[in-house]
Amino acid sequence: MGKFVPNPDFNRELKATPTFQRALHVGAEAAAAQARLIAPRHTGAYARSIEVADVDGHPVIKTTDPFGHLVEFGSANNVIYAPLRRGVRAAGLRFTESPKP
Amino acid sequence: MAVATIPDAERIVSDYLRSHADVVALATRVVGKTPDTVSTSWVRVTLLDAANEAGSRPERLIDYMLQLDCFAGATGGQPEANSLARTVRAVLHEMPGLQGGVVVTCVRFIGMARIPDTDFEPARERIVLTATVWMHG
Repeated sequence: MGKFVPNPDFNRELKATPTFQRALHVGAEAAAAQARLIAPRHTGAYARSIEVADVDGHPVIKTTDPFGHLVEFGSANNVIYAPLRRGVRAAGLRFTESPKP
Repeated sequence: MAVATIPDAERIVSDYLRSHADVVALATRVVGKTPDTVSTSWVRVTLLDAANEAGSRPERLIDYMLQLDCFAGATGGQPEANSLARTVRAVLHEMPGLQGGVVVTCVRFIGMARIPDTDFEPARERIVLTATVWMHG
């Protein structure tokens, strides 16, 4: 009878595979697409500023708009649109906040 | 026959915070929009999303995403904003149970960022708490 020996490096090895990385990027692109739909529109500049980037091998969704924080989190006088947070959920994913260090 | 509606998460969470002794002790206001007077601290509760929880029948268990802006008063600065946000977070952590006729099953925090509000001069210290609250009627 064979004995099953778990691979302690399974998670790390799985996450390093091209297939897994592609799946992450597909999910990130889907969330970014949802975020662009949710983004408020005046000139369309904010929606165009939403992009998927790679940080330490992990895809992240971000905005390059210098006032992106106002659109995402609002202020005393600005509506909270939260396109990034809502976009992740709209794509069926789980949201975890990762503020820029 | 009137249709059944999902719980009013903003009201349930706001009422709960207002009635909790630890929040009352801070003499802070719990509001749905920026108050007219901003000299003392306040917590603004905003509903961002309300999704059907996977695995539950539609419109039964709802996954609410809420943003709680914890603003310091005019002179409280970072210490007051931090204390307020950590207190609100701790109080919400205790929330699961029967609240205002609604069953709160879980509270999770998915973000807590210090983002001063530059609409004020000088910028007003604020902690932005993002929480997901699951509840059903």
